[in-house]
Order: sequence, then C-alpha cells, then structure tokens
Amino acid sequence: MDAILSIEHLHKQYSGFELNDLCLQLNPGEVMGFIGENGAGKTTTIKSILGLIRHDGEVRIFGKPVEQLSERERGQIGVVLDGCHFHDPLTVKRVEQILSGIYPEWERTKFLQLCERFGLPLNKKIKTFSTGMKMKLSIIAALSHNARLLILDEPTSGLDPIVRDEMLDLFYDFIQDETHSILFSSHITTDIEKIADRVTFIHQGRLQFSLPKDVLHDEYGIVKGARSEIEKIDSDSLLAIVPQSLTCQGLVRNREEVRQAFGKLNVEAATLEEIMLCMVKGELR
Amino acid sequence: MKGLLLKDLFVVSEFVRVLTLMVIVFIASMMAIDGFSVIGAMISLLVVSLVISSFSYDDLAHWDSFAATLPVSRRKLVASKYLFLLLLGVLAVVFNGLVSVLFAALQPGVSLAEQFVTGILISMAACIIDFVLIPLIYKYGAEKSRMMMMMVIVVIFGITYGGAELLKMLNIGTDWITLPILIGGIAAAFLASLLISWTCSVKIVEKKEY
Repeated sequence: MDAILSIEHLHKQYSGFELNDLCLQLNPGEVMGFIGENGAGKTTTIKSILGLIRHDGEVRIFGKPVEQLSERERGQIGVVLDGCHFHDPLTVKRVEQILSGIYPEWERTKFLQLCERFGLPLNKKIKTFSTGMKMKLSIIAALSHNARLLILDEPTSGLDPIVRDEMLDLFYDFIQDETHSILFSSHITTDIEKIADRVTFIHQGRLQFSLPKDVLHDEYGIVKGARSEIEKIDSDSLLAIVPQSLTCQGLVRNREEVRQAFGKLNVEAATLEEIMLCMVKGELR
Repeated sequence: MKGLLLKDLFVVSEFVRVLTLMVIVFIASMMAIDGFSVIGAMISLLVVSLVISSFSYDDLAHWDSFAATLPVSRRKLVASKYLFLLLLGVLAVVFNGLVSVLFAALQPGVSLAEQFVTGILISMAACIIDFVLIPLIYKYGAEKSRMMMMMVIVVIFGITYGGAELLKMLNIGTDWITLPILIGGIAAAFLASLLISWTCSVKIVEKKEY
C-alpha cells in the first residue's frame, strides 16, 4: 500500500535550530499523532510538508513530490494551522462563498450541515466568535473539500475539553473512510492517546520514535526505585532515567520482561505524557 | 481565483459605508468652495487605496500562510491582488464619471469629456502608486504600508516637480505636453509600472517563506 504522506531525509536549518534528517511515513487509514515540546520542530515539519518553507529532502503526498501535485490534488489536503485564518469582518456564509470559489471539490452541503451540527451561526461576523468557534470553523472548512489527508497543527490547543471532544469526534468520522489519513500535531497527549494509531515523537529537531500507539501502550513502562537498581536494567530496555528527589524514575521498553527480571522495581504502564517527559527531561541511554 | 477576489471584495466592503460618508462630506465641502477639480482625485485615491486595506486585513488574519496551502499557485495569489486593484481602478473611473456629470451640471461651461478624461488619468495615476506599493508590501508587510504610501507619493511628486523644474532650467516649454501626449505618457507609465510591479511581486512571493 502506497503511503499517503512520506518524508525522506527532511532537513531545515535556522539559526539556533536544526530539523535533522527526518523520515516519516503515513499510511492510508492511519492517524499519526505528532508530539514534541515547544520548538521541537513540529511546525517546521508541517510547514515543510505544505511547502511554506524551503527545505532539503523529499516530501511526497499521494505518491507524488509535493511540488508536482495538481490543483485538484492540493485541494484534497485539508489544513488547519495554528489559529483561525479567516478575516474578522467575514461571516460564515461569506467564508463558504470564498472557499467554494477556491477548492475544486468544495462540498457546500457538508459544510453547512457541519456548521449547523456545531452551532456556528451563518450570519454572524467572525470577530464575534470565541476561540473555540473559530477553531471549529477552521476544522469544518478543512473537512469540506473532499480531503483525503488532514494536516492539523495544534488544532485543539486553547479549546476547552468539551469542544476538544467534539473535534475529536469529527476526526473519527473522517477516518472512517480507510483511504483517509490525519497528521495531528499537538502537545495535548491525551488527545493523541484518544485518536492516534501511530505516535511520532520529535525532540530538538530529531525523530525519537515513530511507533504504533499499541506498541507504546503495551510495551513501554515507567520504573520507579533506587538509581542503582534502575541502572542494572540492560541498555536495550532502559531508554531514559529521570533523577527525582529521593528515588529515580526510568523509561523502559519490554515492560513485562523488566518486571519479571527486576521484581524489586515498581513497573507500570507509561502514558504518552510520561514517555515525553522522560525523553525530554531525562538522561537518555 | 474567483474565491480570492470575493474575499477581497467582502473584506473591503466593510469600508464602503465609511467611504461613502467621506465622499459625501468631501463633495459637500468642496462644493462650498468651488473645489470640484480635487474631488475626482480624492475619490480615485480613496477607492484605489482599498487594495492596501485588503493587505492589512490579510496580515491581521495571517491569511498569507493559509493561502499558501490552498490549491492555488503563488502566481495566482498575486494575480488576484492585481486584478482586484484593476477592478478598483475601474470603479474609481466610474465614480469620477459621476462626479464629472455633477460638476458639468452645476458649473456651465465645463467640458464633461475633459473632466472624464482627467478622472481616468487620475485613477491611473492612483493605480501607479499602488503598483509601486504592492511589491513593498509583499516584502515588508502591510503594517508599514501607510508610511510607504506617503513616501511613494512624496517621491512621485518630487520626480514630477523636479522634472518640471528641470524643463524650466533648460528653457524647454511645456506647451508640447498636449492632452494626447499626457494620456500616452500616463498610459505608458501605467503599463510599465504594472509589468515591473507584477514581476517583482511574483518573484518576492514565490521566494517567500511563511
């Protein structure tokens, strides 16, 4: 099966930051959660994918180099960048008229239905909208032009849990079609845990891992105990150590094996947040 | 392209009420002092400067980065702005025509055709100012556009005034500048500045990183 999005050796240099040799693959039917701390390189990666910045390396979408996509194919990429990009004096009705004149496969009925479902008034100006309403509008617009790939940069940041949950429902609906895929960048790891099939973690411009969420859930663990005990874990299993005030915390893979081999240590399943914290703040092995 | 033009039209339609009010007040005050000839120029400048307002709105909404993700080439994004400016230019000519009719009706002896041609020339000159500004806005952002607009007007005025002074110094009269020559000169300047401006804007936008 051809990847819907593939990135090969992506490299971008800024003064003080380098996105280094990033390789990724997103398959049809897959939701990739893209996580990393602020400044890790998530937005730089997304901007490179969308051609907003120049870069080295190759980005292919729908099997083609991104710069060779036709207008119709570009129209099949739904994009939500950080914030709402529609002008304050416009109404939702006006936004609909504008986008229908831009996207080759604009779906007016779907757009209006989604606006109604999510309570967006058609005749009110966007300047009167809350942050949540603006984000809903951006997401609804991205879903209303027959997109096969959604690229979402922090789509749920700044939203309350209720609205975030509604948005995740929309993404679930979108991914029911197995030819669709989502690249979902966020620091809100609980959202990623809810929706992603694969988690890609980037730190200081370097890919740390890109693994199925089930692997992280089933195999990764947090061990707690004395540093001397944790350091006995073999280097294949121990990924990072985080010194704490009295004890120490370690991030391991092969959680069950570690649990059996080191009965004295407390081993628990790791959440995405714990994995991220250990890899950012800990001493990597 | 249609969507991009609609976007600019919808956004600046916010200004139409304010603009109409300004024009009415301006016409009334100019009628009081028989200053009809200035009205057309002011209307042209106001209408054509709406394209600059559309850039400011784009900046406020961070539209450009989103627009670069749309299924529209960067060349077409630039083309839509120039098309919008030309539409505003046509609108300015229409308004000038209406003012000319009003002027001719109120002041017998005034040539309607002359007034109308003057309106077209003034609208073209107003477009030339924007042709200079647009690449600068693409390069440096709309925030600095008001200051740049003032500078461009001062520079254009300076060149015109300097040219006239130079002709005087060289003892070359201005009698040879007949209306056809003036029309031809402004039309040539219009086309040349459009071509140069368009080429620069496309180059800037195609290289731009968001």
